[in-house]
Amino acid sequence: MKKIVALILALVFVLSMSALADAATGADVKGTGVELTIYTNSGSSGRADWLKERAAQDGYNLTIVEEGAGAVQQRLINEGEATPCDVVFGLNAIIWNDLIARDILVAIDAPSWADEVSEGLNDPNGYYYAIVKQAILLAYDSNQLSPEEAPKDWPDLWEKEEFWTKYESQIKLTGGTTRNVLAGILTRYVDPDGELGISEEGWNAIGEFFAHGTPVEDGVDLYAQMVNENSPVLIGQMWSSGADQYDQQYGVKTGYAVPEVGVPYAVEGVAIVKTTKHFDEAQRFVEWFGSAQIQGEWSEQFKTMPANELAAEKAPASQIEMCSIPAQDIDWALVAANIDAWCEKIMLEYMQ
Amino acid sequence: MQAKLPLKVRLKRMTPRQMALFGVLACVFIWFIMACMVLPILNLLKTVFFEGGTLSLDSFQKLFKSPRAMKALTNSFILAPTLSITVGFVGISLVLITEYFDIKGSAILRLGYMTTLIYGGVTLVSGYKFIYSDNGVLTNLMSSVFPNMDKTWFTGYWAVLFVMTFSCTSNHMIFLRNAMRAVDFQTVEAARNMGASQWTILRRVVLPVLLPSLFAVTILTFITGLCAMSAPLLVGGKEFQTINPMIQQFAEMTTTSAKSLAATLSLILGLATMILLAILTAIERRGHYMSVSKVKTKIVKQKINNPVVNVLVHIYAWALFVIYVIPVVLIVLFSFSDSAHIQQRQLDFSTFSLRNYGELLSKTTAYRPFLVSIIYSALAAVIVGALVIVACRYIQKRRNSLSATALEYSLMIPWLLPSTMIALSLLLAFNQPRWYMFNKPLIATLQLLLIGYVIIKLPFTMRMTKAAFFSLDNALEDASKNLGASGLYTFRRVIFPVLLPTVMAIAALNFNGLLTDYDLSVFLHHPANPTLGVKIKSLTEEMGNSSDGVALTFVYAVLMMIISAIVLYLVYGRGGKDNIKE
Amino acid sequence: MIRLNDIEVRFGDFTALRDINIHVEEGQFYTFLGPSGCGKTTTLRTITGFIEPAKGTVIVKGKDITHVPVERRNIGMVFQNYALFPTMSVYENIAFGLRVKKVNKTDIDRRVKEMAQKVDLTEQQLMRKVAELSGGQQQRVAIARALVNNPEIICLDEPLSNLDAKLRVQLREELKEMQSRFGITTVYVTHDQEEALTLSDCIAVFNKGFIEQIGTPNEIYSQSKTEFVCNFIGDINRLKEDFIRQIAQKTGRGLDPAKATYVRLERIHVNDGARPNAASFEARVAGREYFGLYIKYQLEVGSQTLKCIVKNDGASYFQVNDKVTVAIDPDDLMVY
Repeated sequence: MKKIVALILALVFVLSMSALADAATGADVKGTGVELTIYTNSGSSGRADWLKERAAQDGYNLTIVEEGAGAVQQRLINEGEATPCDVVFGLNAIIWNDLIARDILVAIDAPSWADEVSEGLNDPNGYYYAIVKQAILLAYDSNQLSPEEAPKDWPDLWEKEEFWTKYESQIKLTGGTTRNVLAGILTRYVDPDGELGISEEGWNAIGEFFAHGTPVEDGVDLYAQMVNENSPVLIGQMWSSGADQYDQQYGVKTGYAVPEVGVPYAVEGVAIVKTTKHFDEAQRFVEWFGSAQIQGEWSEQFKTMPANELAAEKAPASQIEMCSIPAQDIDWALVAANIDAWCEKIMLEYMQ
Repeated sequence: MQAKLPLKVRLKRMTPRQMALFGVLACVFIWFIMACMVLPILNLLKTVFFEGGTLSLDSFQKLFKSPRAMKALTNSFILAPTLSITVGFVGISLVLITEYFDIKGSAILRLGYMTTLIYGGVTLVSGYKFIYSDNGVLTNLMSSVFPNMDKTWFTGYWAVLFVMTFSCTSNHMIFLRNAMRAVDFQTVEAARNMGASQWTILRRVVLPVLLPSLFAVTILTFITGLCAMSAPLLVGGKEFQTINPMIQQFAEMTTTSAKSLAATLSLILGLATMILLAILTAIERRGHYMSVSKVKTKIVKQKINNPVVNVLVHIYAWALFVIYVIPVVLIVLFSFSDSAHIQQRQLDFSTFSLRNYGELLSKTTAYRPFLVSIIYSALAAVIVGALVIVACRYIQKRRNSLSATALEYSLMIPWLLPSTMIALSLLLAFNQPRWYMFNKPLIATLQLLLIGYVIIKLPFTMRMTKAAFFSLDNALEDASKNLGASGLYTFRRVIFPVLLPTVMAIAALNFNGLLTDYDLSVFLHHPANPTLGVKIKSLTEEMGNSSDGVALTFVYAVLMMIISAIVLYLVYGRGGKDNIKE
Repeated sequence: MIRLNDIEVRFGDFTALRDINIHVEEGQFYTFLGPSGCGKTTTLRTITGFIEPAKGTVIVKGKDITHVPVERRNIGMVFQNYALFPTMSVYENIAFGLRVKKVNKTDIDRRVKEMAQKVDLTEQQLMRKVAELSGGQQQRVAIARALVNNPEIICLDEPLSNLDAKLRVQLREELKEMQSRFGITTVYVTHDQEEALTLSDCIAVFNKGFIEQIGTPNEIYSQSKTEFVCNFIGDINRLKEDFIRQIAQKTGRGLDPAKATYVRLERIHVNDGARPNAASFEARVAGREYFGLYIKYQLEVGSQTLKCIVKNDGASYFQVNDKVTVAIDPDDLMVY
């Protein structure tokens, strides 16, 4: 009898504890100290260090591997089943969709904060959930161009002669921002019968885009060109959180186009790798990391725009404003499937 | 002069210990060459050209139809030969200035000319841009005199050629200088005695002795020209882009079709390299211009007799010095500045601070890559040195045998492909279990990058070490054996000590070269242990990162220059002194 | 002591040595003499084991060592350019062979120092780098290095060729003195006939991979077996057919003018009184070279030019265009 009572008590205790655990959400979910290996492209400028320390406070033991977005993508593809990676964060929708298509990620139950994220940013099938959003802007130096003079949308650059040579055209097509811009332009000309799914008009447009730009000077960023009186460049691509930083650094004021079709958003997300051996801990980390609390702290620290709307108030006003531009309607799966082929064609045929 | 015996006979004569050693070494080499080079490369070619089981040559078609690819290819093939000539000219001048002519301040000049040994790539080109690009020191100076000049003059073919001409003289400063030191001064005296002018002596007596070394370093220059990367990217502008940046971009894409483009372009470069090597080997076979004299006398620096020429040569020597040194000085200065000023090339002392250095040295994540790179580079330099010494020893002993030739050419394989493609081949081979790698996937292991590092340094090490081996006096080995020493003992006690200075110099060069590697590391590094090259690259990755990354890359560059300089001093500075004693 | 039986050595298609048969007695000073490229060094290297013959056997003290590797033969060798190890000191060079044999340290030290003393190297010189020594000192180090291992045989490959004339003569004497002191069987390679004649107990003359003649210095010199040997050793006069006929006439000897006939310089007697068996001729002094010890004259008898030497004994000293009488004994003619 005593045994049964003890058993029942024990059961009740365990159940109540698990109920308690279930009740905990977001930043309250503590880690167990199991080592998690995390790949990210968003780790420099002290982000990796900050995250490692902050997570340690809540019981997480992180090993963070930081590399460029393309390198993270390559690495995950190449490492295949041997990858030590448990969780990935950062990247962008194009890469996320490529990783999904390659069956590298695992779909997970929506974390408690999933509903707090702006609509349309999370993966509908639950493979990745958004944490930071970056508007990919057509930026210009507002000291030298008034909003009236400035281009209103990307096609203005090649269609209006006044902008020729005044904007930067890329020489490397592997970067995330560049690929988002290209996706934003090319997906306006989707044509299932066209070459690589793009109509001839679209390819001509891309050709014009590259023909009339000033090629990037490798190793020198857009803003250095803007302030350089010897360079004709005033216009180029920029991600939203970068705009503020560069303004501060170069003492300029970034202006940006607000196209009718909206702008592409590079959605930094978080996802769990299919082959992880620490799924439970990984899931706890996702729950913790994406929470309004942590994302708010992250945003405060690094001046980014959180995807989590509850954390959005912590973001700088300028970010909130930039990220209020509507998102362009882009079929990311289509982009992910074709972007390499598109880039290949551009490199061979259109680039200067 | 040793009469050759068939392998069978040799094996029969070996002691069990020798046999065991021979067997183990043979197995190690055959396995290493097959498993780490031949099979992965074949696998890569199969993957990209035989997708779905049929040979696909689409990539050739695509490339031949692409004006950009064709132009880049043409540019590479214009750059390589012209660069060989200009670098040859400057390289010979450096050697003559530091070793042959009596030039005031030659010790300082030498240090200046050796700066290319401690930095390269993007850092070096940025250093040149600080001077010649718009807002550069020299451009500003000139535009104050000629206000109408085009300030963006430093771009295109000539700019690339200029930068690379001065940056590719490292091998001349080491190997050609060594050759100059080996010149028998009595031949110079003899020529003078016969009434030859200084110019004639230089042209007919001294330079011919340098010719074999000059050939060897010219090959290296040619390959560097073909695979040019940073200089065309940074100063090539619209009209002068080359092939290697294209290869790298295609290789970094995830589709097979892009990779096959990269492979195709690589094969074209590889073919050119192969032809060149064949020509060089043929020339080499025609014979060495080794000094025949028994009693060599050390070179005495020649004072230039014609006073006008003397002054001109001094001006030339010091002008070269300035060209070499100012970029280094500016890089060091700018490393104290911030990203914005670096990119605008504005040297403003008010922006100077130690903040970047502090940040870098205080954070583990920032300095750990340093340790990783140092350890990997040192390990690889030692391993590659050891492998090549063993191989050279075999080639030396079994000269002209089929196995020796096969071994020599096998170790040259990595020159056929750019390092990006080598990395890719390793990656594709070892991201799954392979029987030839004991069924263990190597992906995400520490050894994968080490294998890569060792492989890409094989050809260079091979060429240079072999040259040292072949200039050895065979009688030393005979003498040692005659005194009863076994082959191994002879090698350890007699031959290796003689080779040591050269071996160390090569190892130092390899170490410095690998320290900043990006091409291989990005594909092969262990996830938790990124190398310096990867770290630096991630600093300037666009999205989501601080815009101060550029400044940090300069801090890294300066720290690496310091490490490289120390290594060179330890190894070469002291080795150099030994050489002088001889 | 050493026997080479029917040795044949090939380098690829080229046959460097053929039918080499040599027997070196214990304690002998045996010289291989010949022009460069004649096979003498190759033969030496076959003895030391650097070259394995394609045919034939190398026997030392009755033991066939044809296939014994170099390092197990204990045959000392001094190389033409000495092959001193540049990275080691003089001491280490000499001690090398002892270290290989794992002789204990004190013994090594004692033997190196003893040997150094025997070859006149000072203690300071022992500690120097080899590159800092003069040619003669280097040669002594090379010899010491070979001898310190107590080899029963020592092979020397033109060890004096790099030295100046005076040093060469001096070291030649030292060498001979050392050889007799140590009593080591010595095989010596040289292209210098004077060296060969002065040093050797026995000489083998090589030509194009063959042995032309084996014999004592006197046999080689005075009874040269072949035309090559008589030409190679010493200076010699070749006689013209017409001149041979005249000798035959004057002496009544049956000489065949078609055969190559030679006479050595010192066997031509000038104004030396009557010689019963000799043929005498009137000759004109066409030229002379003054050597101090002797004078070398160039004489003309009709169209025949004869070189001869006359001891500088004060009795006779001829001027150019003097008329003299020369006498040649037909026994001194070498006919091939």
